[in-house]
Amino acid sequence: MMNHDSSLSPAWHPSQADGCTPCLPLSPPRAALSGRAVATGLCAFARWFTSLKVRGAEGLRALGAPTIYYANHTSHADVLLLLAALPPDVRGSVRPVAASDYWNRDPVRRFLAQEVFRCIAVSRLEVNRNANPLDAMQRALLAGQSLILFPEGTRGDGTRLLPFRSGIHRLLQATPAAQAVPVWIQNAHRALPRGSWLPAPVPCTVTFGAPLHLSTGTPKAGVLAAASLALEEVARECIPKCQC
Amino acid sequence: MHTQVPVLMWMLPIVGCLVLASGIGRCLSRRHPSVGTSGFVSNWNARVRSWWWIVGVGTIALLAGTVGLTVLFAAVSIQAFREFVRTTPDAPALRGQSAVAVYLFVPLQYALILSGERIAILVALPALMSLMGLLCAEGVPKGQRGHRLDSLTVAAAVCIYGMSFTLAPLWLCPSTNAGEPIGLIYFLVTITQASDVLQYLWGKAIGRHRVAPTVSPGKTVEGLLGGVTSSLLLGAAIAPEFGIGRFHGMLLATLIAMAGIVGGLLLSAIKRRRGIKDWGALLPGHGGVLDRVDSLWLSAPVFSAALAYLQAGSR
Repeated sequence: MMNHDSSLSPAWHPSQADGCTPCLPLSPPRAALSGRAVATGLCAFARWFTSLKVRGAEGLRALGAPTIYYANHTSHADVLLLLAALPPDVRGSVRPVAASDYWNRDPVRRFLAQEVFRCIAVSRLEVNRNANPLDAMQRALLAGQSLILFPEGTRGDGTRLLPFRSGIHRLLQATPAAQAVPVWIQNAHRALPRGSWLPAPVPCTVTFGAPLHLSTGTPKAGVLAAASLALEEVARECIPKCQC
Repeated sequence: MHTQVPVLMWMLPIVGCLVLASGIGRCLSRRHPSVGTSGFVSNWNARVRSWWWIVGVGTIALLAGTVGLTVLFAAVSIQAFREFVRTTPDAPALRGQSAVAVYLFVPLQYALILSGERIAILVALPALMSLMGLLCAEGVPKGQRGHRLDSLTVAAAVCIYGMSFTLAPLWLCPSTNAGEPIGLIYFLVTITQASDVLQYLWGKAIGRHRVAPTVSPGKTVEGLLGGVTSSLLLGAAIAPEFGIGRFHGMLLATLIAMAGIVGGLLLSAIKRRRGIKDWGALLPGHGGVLDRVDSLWLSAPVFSAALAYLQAGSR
């Protein structure tokens, strides 16, 4: 069940990564509490509104953190649907990755990103040697938290998977204890299309696949291809089913 | 049949309601023996007795699976079509054409449904009907053309085409589990009929303000609102059994109930124009078969459209 090489790198064990916690945004307790309440409410609403069907979530608890949930990206609803599909006790340690240039724009979005979904804000605009967006994600993984990642980098049109960015490879390489779980989110682009703020009551499905098994030292192209293939495999399982 | 359709589990609650309704009817007639053969009590008892027959036939059809349901709704289509054409002002003149429609078009439409040819199901009947409409418009005295045309085409649209959409889940969402489309058909028919009954009950209980006094004197605002609300709750309650989420069960049930109201009012308006009270006398208490399914012919296509929309991205 656990990743094959978790024992290879005791240096990366969460307990030894205490020094990193201050990097995570700390919020006053009241805001954190209301954020959590809003998150629970939003997840319940999403499950109800989309008649959310969840497949393959049984083994997630045993998987433990840190886990990288990587999914197809077609809509803003993706994060919410994935969080809603996770078992509540797993949800607490899961942090989505969000673009700071978009989610910092106004107070509502900032509240949603920081307090409700507890996103890790990464900058898409300033990427250089000093500000590597992967650092923050890596610190979260080392602190024993899980990530939600959309390796396509942007929202697709829902018909096919865009080529993966290399971030997921870097994260897996730097954090061998982390496992990557492919997640296929079906119909989110119809429930909340790009550019729309009014959700439509379309039934959605979230399907969790088995964690990736990669041998150490797999080259970047190999990791990305394997991750993409695994996600497409999950998609194929859930598409021909009738969902009414 | 080897389908995993828990027919008995689905029918038991309905049978329970009927037992209750029969009991109420017996109590009422014992308490008011003087009412005689006319009036609310005897109408209630006649209605309930007819319901027993309907539920019995429906159960047999469900037990027989896909083919059973197809045969049942083909028979309903034929009977409804006959009732519709029979009450046309120039009915005898339409005998030939309605025979063609009944013995050719109904079997054709339902055979197409069994075959699952989507395009043919949607297109064949309207195309054939418009051809036949043209044919029967030729060689008819000037004044009567309108009557024949609209009677036949509306009869075919309502009683054959609209009604056949009841079986739409069979070809809209074919699934490895044969019980799934049958469950959706059961959901549609049950919600449609329950909504009719609930409207009737609410209307009798608290109905004050009439909706359309000339078209349908029995329908009241209170009845409609109560009926829609309670069928919405019923939809949410039974939806998970058929693989539908509660919220979507609510949405679908609301759509079904509202489309049913519109469909029923339209057919009532036609009845009033022809100066008749009921379409027939096959189901004592209700009238004809068409009186019983007057909301299904519109709620079925609306339900199918909603289903198609909801699952468009899943294949």
